[in-house]
Amino acid sequence: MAAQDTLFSVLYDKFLFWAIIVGVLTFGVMFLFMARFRAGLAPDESKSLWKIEPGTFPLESSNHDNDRKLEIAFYVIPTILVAWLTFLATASTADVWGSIPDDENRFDITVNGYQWYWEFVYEDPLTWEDEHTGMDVEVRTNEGDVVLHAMGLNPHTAVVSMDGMKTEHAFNGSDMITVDDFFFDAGLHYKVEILDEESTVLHTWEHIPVGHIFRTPVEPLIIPCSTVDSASDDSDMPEDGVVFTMHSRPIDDSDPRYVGVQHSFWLPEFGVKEDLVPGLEQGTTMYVFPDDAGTFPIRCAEYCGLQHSQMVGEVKVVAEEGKTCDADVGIKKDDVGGEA
Amino acid sequence: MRTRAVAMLLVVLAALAFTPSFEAMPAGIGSAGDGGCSCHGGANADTTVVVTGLPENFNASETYTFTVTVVNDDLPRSEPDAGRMGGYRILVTEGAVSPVPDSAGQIMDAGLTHTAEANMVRTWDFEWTAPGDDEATAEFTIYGNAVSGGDGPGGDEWNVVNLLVPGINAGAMAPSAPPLIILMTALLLAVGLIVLGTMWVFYRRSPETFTMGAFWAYLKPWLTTTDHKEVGIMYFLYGFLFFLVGGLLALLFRIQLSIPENDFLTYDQYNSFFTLHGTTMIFLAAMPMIAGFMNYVLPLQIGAKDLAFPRINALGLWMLVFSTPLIYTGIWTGEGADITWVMYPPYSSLSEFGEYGNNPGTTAFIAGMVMLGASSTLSGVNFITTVFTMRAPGVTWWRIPLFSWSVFVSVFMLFVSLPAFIVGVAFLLFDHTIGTTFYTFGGDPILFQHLFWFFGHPEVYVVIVPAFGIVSEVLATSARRSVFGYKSMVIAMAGIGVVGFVVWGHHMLTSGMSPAWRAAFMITTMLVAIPTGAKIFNWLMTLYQGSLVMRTHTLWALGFLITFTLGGISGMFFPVSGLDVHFHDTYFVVAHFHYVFIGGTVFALFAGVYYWFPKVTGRKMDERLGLYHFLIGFASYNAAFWPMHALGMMGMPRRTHSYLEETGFASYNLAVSTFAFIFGLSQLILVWNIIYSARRGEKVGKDPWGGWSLEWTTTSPPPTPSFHDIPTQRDANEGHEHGEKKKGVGKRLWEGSGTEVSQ
Repeated sequence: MAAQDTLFSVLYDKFLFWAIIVGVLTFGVMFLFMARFRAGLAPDESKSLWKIEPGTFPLESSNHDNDRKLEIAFYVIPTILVAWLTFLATASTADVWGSIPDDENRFDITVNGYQWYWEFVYEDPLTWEDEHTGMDVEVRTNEGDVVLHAMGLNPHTAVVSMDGMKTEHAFNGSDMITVDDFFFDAGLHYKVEILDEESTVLHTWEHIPVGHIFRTPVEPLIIPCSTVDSASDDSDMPEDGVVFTMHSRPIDDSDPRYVGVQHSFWLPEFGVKEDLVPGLEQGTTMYVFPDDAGTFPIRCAEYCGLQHSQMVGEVKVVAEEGKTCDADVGIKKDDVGGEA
Repeated sequence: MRTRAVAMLLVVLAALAFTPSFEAMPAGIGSAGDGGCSCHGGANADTTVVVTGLPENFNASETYTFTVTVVNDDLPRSEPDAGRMGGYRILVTEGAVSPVPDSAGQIMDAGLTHTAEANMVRTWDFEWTAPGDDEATAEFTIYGNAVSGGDGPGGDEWNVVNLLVPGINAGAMAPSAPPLIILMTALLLAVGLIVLGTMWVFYRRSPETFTMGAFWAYLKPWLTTTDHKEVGIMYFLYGFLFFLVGGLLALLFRIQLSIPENDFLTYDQYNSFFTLHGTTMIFLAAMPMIAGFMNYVLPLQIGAKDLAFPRINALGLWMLVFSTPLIYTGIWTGEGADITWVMYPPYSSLSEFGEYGNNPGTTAFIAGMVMLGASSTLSGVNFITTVFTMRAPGVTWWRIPLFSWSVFVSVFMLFVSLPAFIVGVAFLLFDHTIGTTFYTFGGDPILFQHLFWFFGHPEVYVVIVPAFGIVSEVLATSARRSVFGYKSMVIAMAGIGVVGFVVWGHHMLTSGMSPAWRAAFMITTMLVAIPTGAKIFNWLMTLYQGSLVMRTHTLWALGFLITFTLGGISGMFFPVSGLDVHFHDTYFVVAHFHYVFIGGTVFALFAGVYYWFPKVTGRKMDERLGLYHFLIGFASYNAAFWPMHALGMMGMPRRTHSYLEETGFASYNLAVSTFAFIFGLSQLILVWNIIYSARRGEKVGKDPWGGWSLEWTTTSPPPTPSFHDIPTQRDANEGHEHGEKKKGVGKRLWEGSGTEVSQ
């Protein structure tokens, strides 16, 4: 699954390695013994060797001392393996449970789970723009206009949305237009989309203000990628991550006995999920360090009633305006937990 | 005494009177997939949807004009420039509906829905072109929404109206019934046919002397028996019947999941099916089948004439039988329980919130769970007492056969963990019926999860530990030697029994638990691997220096070793919180617990069936049919459940009704469904083998396989009571001194290992 290297994918590889070793050894020995000691090949005097007769507890062991050592070894071997796996697990688990990004750098989003859709409330403003499209949207806030560049492509129209009011502007063959009457207020929602003739979106610039709300399944959740690598040596995590504070909400609050139901906010691509617990005032917390830009699924993992399976959505990882998601920050397969 | 009984009866009657009555009809607007809309909020009685202009009977291909108006006095029509006011959605089964003007509607999810323009009014005109076939009946489902004028969906109030417009030549409408009701009625009929079939067999024995009285005299001993062997047989057959019923439910929802965006089952049916599948398989199939073996074999193995409390034993069986209708009863109201086998509140306690709450069948379902808990408690008391007090001379604690040891560990865990379950479920029943708030609104939904899993995790060991016992017996007997490391095996089972009580938190690693507790539960859960690993190694060593006879029960036991080890290895992934945050509630979990439940418990039970069948009937089961059963069953089982690991990795959540094409789950799911069918069908070989061998199988003596424990010293089948005289178990180890035994551990370590012992 995970296209991104996350704590999950790194740990999974290590555990799979040990699982395969244990499996191959166990089944190898089993098939060997099955073949070697099958009836007809092995002498059938074994029954008398072990003194097996009805009503008699048979001889426990034919070679007491060696057997006893082996029995103890059979406890010691799994103990060592378990200790080693626990060490592997805690070593990297500490990385994630211990590294909530600090207030300064993190990006906060409140997630509300309803029956049966997600609602995302922005606690921090986000201004983002598509990368690598060859286009550029330049908002000149002090001059009250917006300049749209579209080099080498064939843009048709630009849709400029200011707080929900949409206006269309044709390029008319040129690769740059300027839209006047654009008054930027950081508290409002702005979106600029450049379309081609078939109304396919070629390029997007968007400003999401604090308190803005997106709802699935129509609107995706938009989060910025991490760009600041950790300064300290003992952490593999970037310094800036997205922190979700999550609540389960009732769809109708007229009856106090209905407090909503359990959900679980799951981002399969990042390998994390956390339950939304109804009635829990402070909510639950989950955080991710998105690495690559892209669009990934959101699913509900805790059964929440009739349309549980329809409680899906999309998360879109974007670069904040002026930044890029190309920087390789965060966890990498090779540098966590050293060997194995 | 009598006043107290009357008082209790009155309390029960009062509780029943206040219990919300069952409703058969679903409420609210379904989703797009259901053929409804994804409107906001719940249906509201303040809103009325008025439809005028539709004819009483339609003529073929004629066009009718009709008007839909939403009336709501609480949300008066705001000023025209105040924004949105209303919305509609129309579904019709025949003909075509188009809005007037065209711009007032759009087709969305196979139904007509308002556009933004039509959002500004509360009355709309439509044209309906009737179908060409005037024998058909058109069903209209019309939703109307009174919008509060606000931006979000909050405060909106909608309602729905259903209309039937038959064509002028349409006959009377045939009554329709949900398929679930038909299915369950068919199952009920099947049970009735089994009873009739039994009667027929009895009649055929001597047609001349047959009377109902004689039939009753034949049936009555079975219904009133307290003999542990007969109760055991009934436990097993009852469990096996429900193993097939639960399997049938699984096959039905595997059809639903075999292709993407399937609508073979509705959400409601799917949710009820997997709820009943889980509950049936654990409480009505696995536990009774194990109870069957426990009842039959344990007293024989420890040399007891019967259990300590034979009548309590029969009471346990009949409580189980009568809890079943409670669990299934919701189905006949149209909506079975849909709260999953873990029954998490607040969803499971929401009794009256339309489509947002659970189905009406839930009330009886939860009551049935309480009854199951009571039944298991009775078994627990009985078996613990029996093992403590009724062992024959020579059957000391270190000389109890491993199967009996495993039963003892298992019932002990059950007995200790059940109070948490019963308390948790009783509170849930109160929340659900009489409005207490243990788990909602001031209470804590997480409390239930703790109570449930404090029982639930030991419960999974309750069903796997007896399987360990069966496999130990079968492997040792088939290898013609004693089991390797008898004491080590006992310690391992007891160790699992103890550690099993402190690991429940790993089911809740994503419930917002503090990191410190996650780490604590991670470590305790990892510890389970130590005794389990020791057991697997001991089984491997049991093959060593033996002379392995390949019978059907041997094959199933070896199959158990493979699948249970695989399930055990995948189990190592869950306690790690960094991995569990991805795997929790995915198909990876589904794969894991089917590997340990089927590949562990059920395979061991199959081994047990082939192994003890001669003891029960005096005849062997057919080896050729057994081999087919094993080969087909084992192969199709692995092919069905292995791909689920991949599905979990890819991100398929469990309990999901359908999935989209672009998720890429389709090909794996199709494979899973196909092989699940083959696995299900292969069980029919076992059914046939049991029926055939019980009548035609090869006759055997006391000890067909060369086992040593006390059940092989008595006749096949054993007499009632099971032993005329209490037997004495001898011990081959007595007087068999080990050369180095007297040397202390420290001294042996000092001298080094294996110097004197040369092979």
